[in-house]
Amino acid sequence: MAAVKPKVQFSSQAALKTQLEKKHDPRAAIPIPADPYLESVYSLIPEEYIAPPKEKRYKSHYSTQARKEYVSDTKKAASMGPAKVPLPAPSHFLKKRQGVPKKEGWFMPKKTKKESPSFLSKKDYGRTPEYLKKRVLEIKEAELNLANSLALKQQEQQQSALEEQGILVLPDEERERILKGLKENWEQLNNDYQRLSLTVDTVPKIARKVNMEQQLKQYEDLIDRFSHTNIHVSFNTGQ
Amino acid sequence: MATEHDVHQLNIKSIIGFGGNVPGGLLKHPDGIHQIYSLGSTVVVSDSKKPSQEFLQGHTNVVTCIAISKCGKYIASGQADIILWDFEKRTLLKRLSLHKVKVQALAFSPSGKYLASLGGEDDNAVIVWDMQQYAAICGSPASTDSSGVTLSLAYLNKSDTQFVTGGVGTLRVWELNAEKRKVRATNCQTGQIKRIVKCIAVDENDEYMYCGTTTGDLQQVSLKSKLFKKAGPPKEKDLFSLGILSTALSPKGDSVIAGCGDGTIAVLGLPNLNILKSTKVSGSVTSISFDSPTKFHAGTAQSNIYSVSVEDFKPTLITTCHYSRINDVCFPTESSDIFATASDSDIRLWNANTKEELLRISVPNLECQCITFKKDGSSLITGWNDGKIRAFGPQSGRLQYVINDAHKRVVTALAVTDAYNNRGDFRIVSGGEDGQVRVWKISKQTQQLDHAMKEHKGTVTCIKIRKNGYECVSASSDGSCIIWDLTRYVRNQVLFAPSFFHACCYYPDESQLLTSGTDRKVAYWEAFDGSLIREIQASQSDTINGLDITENGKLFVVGGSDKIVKVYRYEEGELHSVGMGHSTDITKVRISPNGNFVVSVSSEGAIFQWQMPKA
Repeated sequence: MAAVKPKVQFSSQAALKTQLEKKHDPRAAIPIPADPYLESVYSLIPEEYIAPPKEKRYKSHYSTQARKEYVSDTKKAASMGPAKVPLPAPSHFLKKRQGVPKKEGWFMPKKTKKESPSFLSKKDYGRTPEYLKKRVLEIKEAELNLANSLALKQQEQQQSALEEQGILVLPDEERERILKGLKENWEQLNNDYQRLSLTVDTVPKIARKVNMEQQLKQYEDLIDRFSHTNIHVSFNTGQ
Repeated sequence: MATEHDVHQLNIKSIIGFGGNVPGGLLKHPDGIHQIYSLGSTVVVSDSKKPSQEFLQGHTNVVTCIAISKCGKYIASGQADIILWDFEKRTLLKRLSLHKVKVQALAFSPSGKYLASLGGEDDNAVIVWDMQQYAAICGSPASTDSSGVTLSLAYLNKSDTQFVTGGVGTLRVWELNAEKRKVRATNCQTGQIKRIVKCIAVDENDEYMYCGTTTGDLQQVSLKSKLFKKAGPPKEKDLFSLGILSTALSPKGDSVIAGCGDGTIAVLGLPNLNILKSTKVSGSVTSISFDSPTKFHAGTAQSNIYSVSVEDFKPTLITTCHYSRINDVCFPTESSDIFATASDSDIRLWNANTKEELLRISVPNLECQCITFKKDGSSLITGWNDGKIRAFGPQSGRLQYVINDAHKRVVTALAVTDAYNNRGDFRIVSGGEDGQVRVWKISKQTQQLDHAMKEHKGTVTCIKIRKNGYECVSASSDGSCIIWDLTRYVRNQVLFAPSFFHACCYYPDESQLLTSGTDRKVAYWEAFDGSLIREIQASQSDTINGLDITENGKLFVVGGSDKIVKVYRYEEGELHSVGMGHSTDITKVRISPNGNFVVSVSSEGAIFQWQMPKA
């Protein structure tokens, strides 16, 4: 850098001019760049002011129409109605509540208050209202639902309690298979029992007949037992 | 064919300049529109409403004083003789020559019937001229032998026969007797007080005169009794430094305005002569002229014209120009609307059309010797008398770079090449007082010395580079011009002449060279082998300092110490036209890039723009 700094000034003559001609001041248009290396002497040349082209005079779309209407022989005040309105005939004098022209000193009749409605003429007078019925049904249903859900809950609780003790519900297929087998067994035994001799004279015969009767009774008991659906099986061998 | 030999007059397009050193040199014409001032040997009539100027030319040297008659019909300007101008026609009416060496001051009588003139130190005479016959009525020695030089002159406002003069220890009231052709002086008694009166203002009723002195006080002297009455400002500490150089009475008559040597403009209230208001401008205030009852113009020795309102007393700069020697002028390559001038005090950029100053760059205590624009116009490259090359941004005047110690003492010539790569790097060829021609490689970050060529024994005054950038020519005051090879950095040719070369330029097709210098000749040289083709005696008396040639090579312009701008036909070597107006040495001439006008600059600080004739 130089030891002595150059002193720069824009002459106030130019500044004065710029103040006066701020409108299209060329120096205002081209700002001095921040980097002194980017400056150009040609930026100092004032641009010649070219006046913007004069805009076309405004002309309404409707000018021709308006002009035509203005000079045409159409009725005067055709669009706004006639200048004079004919008076009503004397026979059509103004009657009560026919619309009083509002004037100062005149009073419009006041509107009377509406009577309170008669509730006796109501359709459902004295009956339980429909909404209330609906409401009761809803409550009942809700109660039922609640009971059902409670029972279900209880059952589940019981089941879970039984499961805890080692007792399981016998599945239905299993039960039916057992039942079928029992019935087959019973029929076979019953066939044998029917074919027994009518004479039961010997001890073995008596023993055999009693044994078969006992067995049949046992089958019948079992069939009866397995005919119920809710069968619990305990796996708790310890007891 | 006779018309071909006729010498035309070059028309002045405009002048940027104001001769601020003339006491009372800035005058307002009574019509309120025109302003009259001198610039060197020219009297300029400028219109305040329009940007036009008119020039009254007839003097052969610097105008020393101007006066305008109250009716506005006449302008008188003094040099060695007085020229009387018709203002309406802007023509020379009469040359009145009786004074010797110098006319010191001029004053018209209130009715415009007489003109009083005061000769300079060598002449020491007062002459009264009759404005009907344009002849002298009578004359008399301005002062007695015992007293000193008379410096100022003023006419009374009501009397056609009375005027006053003042000077070194002298203050006289003169009485004219036109019938008897006599003029009689009465000395004013100032007692012990001895002053050098620089300017005199007489009040509206011719009761008192107010004399500004070099001591810095204003003396009120009665015109009836011819006695000193009062001096102001009352306190001695308030005396104006460097003296009072110009005075004017306010139109109301209640105060006196004094312009001082240190640039102070002050209002001294009457009758106490106490300072009411004061302000400061740059340069000693040499003239004060009232523009309107509320506003006056002040011209200063630094060639500034200020407008000052009486109310708020704030000076506004109206016009400004160089006040010292202009060393160089240059145009940017692609524009004729702008040019730059380098003077001893500062560098200024001008709008060529409006004469408006666009930018001023000054480095305190240093003088710029040469100036050129970078080819793309992004930099203003200048050479200084501290041996440095400085580059400035041309919009803001900010410093871009400095090449320290570019030359031993003064950088006297500069030229730039086109950019040699796509980064925009270019070369500067500079010449110095040490006689070296140096080539610098300039990039944005670095400025490197490429080569120094030491052949010249004297100051390098001008360097021109060929369009292709491979060759350049340097002119030197050692009497030689050298054509350099810029690729091998060796001398190609050398031209010798018994002259201090001041300027050189290539003919547009670069086959020939033109040189000029102190031998008062313009020489044509063969650029290829350096042989002399022809010589033209372009001036009878003085050095040729500036030289430039048009784009088409048909005309060339020279300007020199003979103060005349001359346009020559290149082929014929004949004088085409001359332009007179400069009053001091022309230092440089430059044709605008569009070829429409010539700019010539001179050592008094004036910038003349001349219409370039069609070949």
